[in-house]
Amino acid sequence: MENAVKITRTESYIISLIQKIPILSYYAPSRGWSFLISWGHRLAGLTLVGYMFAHIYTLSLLFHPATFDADMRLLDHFVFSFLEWCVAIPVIFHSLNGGRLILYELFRVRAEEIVIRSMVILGLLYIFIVGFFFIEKTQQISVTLFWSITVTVSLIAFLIVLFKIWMTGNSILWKLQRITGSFMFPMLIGHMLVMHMNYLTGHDSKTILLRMESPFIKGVDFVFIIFLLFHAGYGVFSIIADYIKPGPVLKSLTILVIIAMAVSAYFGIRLIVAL
Amino acid sequence: MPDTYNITLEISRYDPESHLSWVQTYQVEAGGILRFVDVFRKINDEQDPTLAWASSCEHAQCGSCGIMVNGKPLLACELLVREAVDQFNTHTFRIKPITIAPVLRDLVVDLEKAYDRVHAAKPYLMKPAPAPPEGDEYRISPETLETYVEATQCINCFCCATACISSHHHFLGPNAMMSNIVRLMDPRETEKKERMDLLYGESGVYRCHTARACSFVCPKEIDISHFLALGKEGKF
Amino acid sequence: MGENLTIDSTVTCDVLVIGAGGAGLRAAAYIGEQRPGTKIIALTKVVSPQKSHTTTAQGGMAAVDPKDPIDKPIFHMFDTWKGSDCSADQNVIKKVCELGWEEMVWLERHGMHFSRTEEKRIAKRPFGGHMLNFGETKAFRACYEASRTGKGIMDTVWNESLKHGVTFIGQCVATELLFKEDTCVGAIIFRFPDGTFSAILAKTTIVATGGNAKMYLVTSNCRGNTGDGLALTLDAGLPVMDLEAVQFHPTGMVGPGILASEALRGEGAILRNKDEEPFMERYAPTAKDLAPRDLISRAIITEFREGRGLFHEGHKAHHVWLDLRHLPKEVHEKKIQEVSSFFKRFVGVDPEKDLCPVTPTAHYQMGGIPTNEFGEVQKDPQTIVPGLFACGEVATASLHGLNRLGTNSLLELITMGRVIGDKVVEHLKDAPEPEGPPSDAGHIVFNQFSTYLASQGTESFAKIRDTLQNLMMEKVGIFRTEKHLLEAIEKLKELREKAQHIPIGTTSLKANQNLWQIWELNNLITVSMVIAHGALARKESRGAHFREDYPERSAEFDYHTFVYMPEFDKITFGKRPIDMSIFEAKGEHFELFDYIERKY
Ligand SMILES: Cc1cc2nc3c(=O)[nH]c(=O)nc-3n(C[C@H](O)[C@H](O)[C@H](O)COP(=O)(O)OP(=O)(O)OC[C@H]3O[C@@H](n4cnc5c(N)ncnc54)[C@H](O)[C@@H]3O)c2cc1C
Ligand code: HEM
Ligand code: HEM
Ligand code: SF4
Ligand code: F3S
Ligand code: FES
Repeated sequence: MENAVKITRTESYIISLIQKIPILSYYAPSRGWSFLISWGHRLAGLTLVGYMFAHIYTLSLLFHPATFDADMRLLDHFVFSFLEWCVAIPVIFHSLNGGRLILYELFRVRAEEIVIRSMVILGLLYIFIVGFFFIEKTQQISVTLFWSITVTVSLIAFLIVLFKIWMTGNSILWKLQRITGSFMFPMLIGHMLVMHMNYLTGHDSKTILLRMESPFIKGVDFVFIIFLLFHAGYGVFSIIADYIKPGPVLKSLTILVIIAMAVSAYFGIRLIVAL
Repeated sequence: MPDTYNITLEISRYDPESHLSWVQTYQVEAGGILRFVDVFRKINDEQDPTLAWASSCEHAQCGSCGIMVNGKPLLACELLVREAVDQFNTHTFRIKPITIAPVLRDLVVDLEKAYDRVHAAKPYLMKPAPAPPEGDEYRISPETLETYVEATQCINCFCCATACISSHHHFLGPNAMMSNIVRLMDPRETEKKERMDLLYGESGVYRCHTARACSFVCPKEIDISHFLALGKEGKF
Repeated sequence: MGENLTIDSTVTCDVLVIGAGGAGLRAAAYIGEQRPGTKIIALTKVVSPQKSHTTTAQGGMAAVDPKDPIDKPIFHMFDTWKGSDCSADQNVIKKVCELGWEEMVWLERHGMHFSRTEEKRIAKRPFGGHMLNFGETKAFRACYEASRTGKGIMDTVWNESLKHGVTFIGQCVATELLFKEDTCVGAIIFRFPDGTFSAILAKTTIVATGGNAKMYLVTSNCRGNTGDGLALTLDAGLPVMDLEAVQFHPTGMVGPGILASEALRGEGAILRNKDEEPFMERYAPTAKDLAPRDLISRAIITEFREGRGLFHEGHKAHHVWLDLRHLPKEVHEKKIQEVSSFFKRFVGVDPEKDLCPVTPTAHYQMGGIPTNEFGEVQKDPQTIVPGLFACGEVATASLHGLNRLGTNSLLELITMGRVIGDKVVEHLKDAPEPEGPPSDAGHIVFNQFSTYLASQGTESFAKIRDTLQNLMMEKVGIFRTEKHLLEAIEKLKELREKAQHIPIGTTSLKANQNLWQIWELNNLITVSMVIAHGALARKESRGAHFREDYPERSAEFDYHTFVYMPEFDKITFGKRPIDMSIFEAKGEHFELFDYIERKY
């Protein structure tokens, strides 16, 4: 299909601007935008894996609230604040695009032009909203209510995908990656949003510790971290497996990935259980 | 001459005797209706008889002549000079061999090696259904045929495999995978299990990340990623 | 360099197929299926058998279902006989037409993706010269897969060969046939990638190297159709037959000559001249645009000569129009989509809206290596060469005589491939193991290659090739005269001499395209010489061979021409009678199989 996508004049203008970037000007006309998006998805995924490790490490500092708060105060510096806001980009991009891939591969949604356009618009909106909350820092929302809704939506997404693919011949791990992905779709978007809506819930040890006493929140975090670590682990494995033939090297690297995820799981879960 | 173009070709060369690689620049004055294979022939005739390039049918039917022009894998016999100038918006073309198999000389690659992937996908009917009770040919409705006939047009030029995000390693590649999927959709194939194992094997469809470069470059305009996605959806 | 060419390795096998095209691989698949464990090696110049020229055949493959209520195999036999201008062999016609449907079903059951009718059966379309009731109305007889029937066939026989464990060697050429006391024991091959020579010793050798029309400037043939198989045979001192019968397809796309399949006219396309007059009505009032190819090609050239042709500025060539504008959208999009797209891509016209420029293009070699009805190669009309078979376009049994009907070639590949397969399986029962290669193995090819590699001359490869192609087109093309043919023969001698003095670009043997092409050019010149001599000797007009100085068919030439040329220009002729077995059997309608008038 010689990219027969019809684009508007504004869009083609924007694209021509973006295509000034050398690497894009090489790959976009020679491989198509989907190819670049796929690389984007991969890089965003890896960035998030990196962030995740750092995040779990920082959270484990909650055992020493003073250190945690000292560390978090660093974030108040505008450079770090800005970087924190930037995390919204890989988050929303990877989430929406993951959703698109699931729709394409499993639900035969082939109207790519519409999906990609919606992705871009929703993504930009999200990034601005997160930024807005970030700056305002004054909204209030009931955390329990927020999470009740988010978890319900997540469960629905989870079930739809589960029923759709459970009976196919794909490997269980592969299926689980799509299933965990669909569960995290509302979860992660919500997580990031709520952490900035009620600014203190995300950045102040006292508030966090108080909130985490709730068994409900504990439950939510528990499911979240298990799913996330599985998804991230399989994601990293899947990238490695693209490049390395099945054999001892692939095996050793796979074990390394499993260990990394298991260690993270230990720290993450200990936090949930102990606090 | 109605339309002639002064074009510059920067061609990747490789000499198997000395193992040297270099880029050689050729200036060619070519009619707009010439195909790139004609341009190569012109270079052979007028400038350099040693430049090696591959082709056979020279009208986009056999898939022997895949090359990369400014990064895009395509058929050299299908690209007219005039169109190339329009499409790439330049008069300078960087020409490289496709990257799916080792280079033999200049633009000629050892596609026999790439074909091993297609062979591994067993493109034939492994176990054809028993003869129909009415005798003669199987009865297949035009509607059923319609669901997969597009994929049967593949000529194994390996342009898609060259473009794909992950087929340079041990992914069988879009075209090979698709030939397996065609047989899964073919009502005459009864060996579904082995085909499914192939589909969901380590070199199978998990290595595809729906990058869709395959569909983007395919000279036969086959929507390969559609068929690979059907493989993941897994309902045959 | 030349002196130290050696055979680098020796391989043995049961069956060596030189030319893994449709014909060669049908034979291989049959043998593999019937006799599991047979060691078969199939050679091709291209990277994979799938890329053989059969892949480009578009229109269809003729076959009549014996249970068909309307069409009958006897009609098909009659059409083939009439189409050949009474010069095909009737034993072969009968065999091929009767086996056709069985082979069609074989292809379908082994995975070919034929187009379908609403009744879910194989779809059929009409084609030139194929009629019902001995020439009354057009018959729907060509089974097809959209406009890629040849690809469907090639994929199927390639797949089946693969399944039965045939070893493919791509990117190589067979350069010399090997013999031990008249028995063929294999061939020498030269491999492109690493520049090595191997002797392949085989109990049976099948030559199936396809067509050879590359000596013509405008041709539908692929880059590798350079007459290698014929040159090898001639070098071995064996004869070739009827080479003067070169078919020009009336509708090549102006410019490179890419084929615009007859299927277009089968679906209703109309030829028009400068005044947009549908001129075929004047030349063939009944069959019109579906008259046989030779007739239409001559009609087009006549239109050119009488000033009713057109001139294409871009390609500097004469042409007429092919009109597809009135065909339903459905036909454009489904049935002829591929060919339609060629016009868009290579000529820049849209067949749905514009008239398409076409011109006759050299298309098919009716003649070839003479074989009997089992595909066994003949040394003379009475004797066969043990261990050597030939089939496909390179061979002549002869189904087509001096003119072939469209869709009969694919039919011949598949049925004769199978017939040969049958014979080979029988032959293998008591064939002895090949011993070593003959002591002089390689002397022909080493001689040739060392000349090319050592050449310091100043002749230009391109100039020789262009001169050859123009010469053949003008003097040994659609219309021929004694004067032109004599001139052509003189010129060919000159070209042959020059071709020994082309400077070589590199003396490396690895992937040396230059060397390979010089070898091919020499083969083309060799085969051209035989075509010209054959055309000169046949002082009559029959089928595709048309002599302006002898425009009528003559009973004096009711035979096949045998030509031997063991050395360049050392020609001896022979004759083979035309088989009239259907006529002689005196069955129903036998009188139609006499030497009848050919009118459409
Ligand atoms: C454009 C086009 C359209 C056609 N359409 C139709 C149609 O619709 N219906 C129909 O009936 N016929 C059609 N024909 C004719 C028909 O396709 C050919 O006659 C037929 O395909 C020839 O098949 P083959 O097996 O003999 O040879 P090919 O398929 O040409 O195979 C020859 C093989 O031999 C190999 N080879 C050649 N030389 C050597 C060597 N020296 N050493 C090793 N290997 C060698 C080649 O690489 C190739 O693999 C068409 C022909 C053309 C050109
Ligand atoms: C929020 C919802 C998410 C969804 C819907 C989602 C979806 C997906 C999907 C469908 C894939 C498969 C892509 C492919 O194989 O081609 C994938 C891959 C991946 N995901 Fe996610 N994901 C989500 C969140 C995350 C998070 C939070 C991380 C990181 C911690 C992550 C890391 C990865 C990685 C590393 C890959 C592998 C990328 C590759 O193979 O190229 N994902 N994701
Ligand atoms: C930058 C914005 C983010 C902030 C401020 C933030 C903040 C927090 C906080 C305060 C917690 C403690 C638990 C809770 O209160 O529920 C938490 C938990 C968690 N976060 Fe984030 N988060 C952010 C982004 C992310 C991202 C991008 C990911 C995914 C890669 C992520 C994954 C998790 C996980 C898995 C937990 C549970 C950890 C555990 O149970 O140990 N967070 N986050
Ligand atoms: S799918 Fe398309 S690009 Fe890929 S090999 Fe086949 S024809 Fe070429
Ligand atoms: S480009 Fe490659 S990743 Fe999949 S969709 Fe095509 S095979
Ligand atoms: S040469 Fe056959 S596809 Fe280009």
